[in-house]
Amino acid sequence: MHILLIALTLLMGAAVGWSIGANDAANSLGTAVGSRVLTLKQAIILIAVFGFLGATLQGSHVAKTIGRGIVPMDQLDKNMSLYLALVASFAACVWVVLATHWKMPISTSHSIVGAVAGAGLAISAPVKWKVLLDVFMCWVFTPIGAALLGYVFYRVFKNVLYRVIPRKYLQVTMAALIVASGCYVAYTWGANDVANAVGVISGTGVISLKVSVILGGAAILLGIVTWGYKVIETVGTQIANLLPIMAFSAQMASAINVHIYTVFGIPVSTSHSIVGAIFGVGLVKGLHVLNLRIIREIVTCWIVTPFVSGLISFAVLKGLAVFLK
Amino acid sequence: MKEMRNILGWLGKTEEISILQDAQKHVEETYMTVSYFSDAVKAFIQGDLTAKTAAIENVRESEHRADVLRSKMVTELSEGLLLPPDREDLLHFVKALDRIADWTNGSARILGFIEHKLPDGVLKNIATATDLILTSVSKLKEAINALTKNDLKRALADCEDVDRIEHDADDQKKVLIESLIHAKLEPVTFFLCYQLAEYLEGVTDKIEDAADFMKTVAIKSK
Repeated sequence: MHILLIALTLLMGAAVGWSIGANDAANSLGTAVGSRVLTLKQAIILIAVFGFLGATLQGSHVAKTIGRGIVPMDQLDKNMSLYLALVASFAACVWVVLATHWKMPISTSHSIVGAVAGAGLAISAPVKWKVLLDVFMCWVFTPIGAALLGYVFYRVFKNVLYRVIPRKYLQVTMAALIVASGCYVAYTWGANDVANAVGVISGTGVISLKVSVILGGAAILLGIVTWGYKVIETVGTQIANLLPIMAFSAQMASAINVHIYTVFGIPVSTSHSIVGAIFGVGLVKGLHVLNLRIIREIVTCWIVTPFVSGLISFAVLKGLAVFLK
Repeated sequence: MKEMRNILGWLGKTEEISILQDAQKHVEETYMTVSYFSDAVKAFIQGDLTAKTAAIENVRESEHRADVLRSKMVTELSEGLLLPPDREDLLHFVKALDRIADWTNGSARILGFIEHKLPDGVLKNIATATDLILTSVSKLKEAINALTKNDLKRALADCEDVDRIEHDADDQKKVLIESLIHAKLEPVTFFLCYQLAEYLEGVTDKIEDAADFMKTVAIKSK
């Protein structure tokens, strides 16, 4: 039974990891592909390398929070913690699939945090509300912080870089800066998001944190190479319309923002961070990036996601408990 | 792009929906332009010159409003940091929509120059050609409504109807020109009526062009 539970939980985690790799890889080097600084192949290699490095080198910080910070899974009965991990992964996965079908811009981080809390409540485990509140607060500040950083960076870089860098080196320098900042985004993305895939399984203690983040990193990598390239191409060449200096400012803002939360072990939405950063950059030029309707939709999804995934995991685990009795 | 959950992809798609909603307003305004033109034709047939002049003025104003909407959509398609993924198709679509109102305005202008009462056969054929335009633009309006509601099957079926009506309009142009030849009109009136026949058929052509671009957008979002 243990083996089956572990295998199923790993499978669910792999599915979440794959979905992250497939959908969010474009946020780091999509603009570099769009501006033809990198080819699609080069971008995929860089995202895969830096995403995997982020996951394995710093992924354990957030994995600890998801695995043990919200519900102390290590203090629960082994079987119970495995059921909790499986159901939380399942609920997050179900909600991600449904939201994708309904074309809702949801965050996997929000989904898994809600699912873990819901599963914890279902088995009357001691849910750490203080940690949850901190996480919620950070979710509010993720796009705001990124927007502020984006605004400041763009203002500063726009004035400094064009004056400091000689004209003949400007193009090559900007290309290098876009690639470097994109790699940094990929690194912090891997470091923060890998926990969404394997945080719960590492919390049960059946595999070590180190091994779990390597497995999660591998699942993300699979998502990047099997599907992510399509999204990178579409986002980079057709949607993101950023000047090189704008792309660099937004990427740096988003990466620093996510990195800070990662160091403190807070699972945040890397997508909200990049959108916030682009919004901040756009503000400098007075360009419209998001209208009120779009902001309302994103905020609605942001609020709904943890509750729905929490409700799914609560209901499934309660149902499972009845079935197992 | 189908089933893509990436936030930037989602934002691009949201921009696309916003453009389609503006296009819906544009089609409604274009429908009004064609309706006013139809009123002008009816007034002309009844010999009510005051009503005809007023309706032609309405066509001109409506075409101007459609033009303003077109400018707004073109701006949205070219500015901003996150753009709709199929913006080239959308841009062609927006331009095609605008040409419908332009050509209707052109038809109205020619109608304004025709002062003499025309034979009943010619008037009947002008009325039929105008009805075809009105039916065609209604279908286009329904198609774009279906597209914004993501009912792609319905949108494509309506676009097919537009194609069919365009063929009918081609035949109607031939019938109208035949009636003009047999009507033995003065050279100036004949020339104006011939131009009107060309323009009336041209409007259905432009509606068909818009439907073709709409098909492309619909198929790509499948």
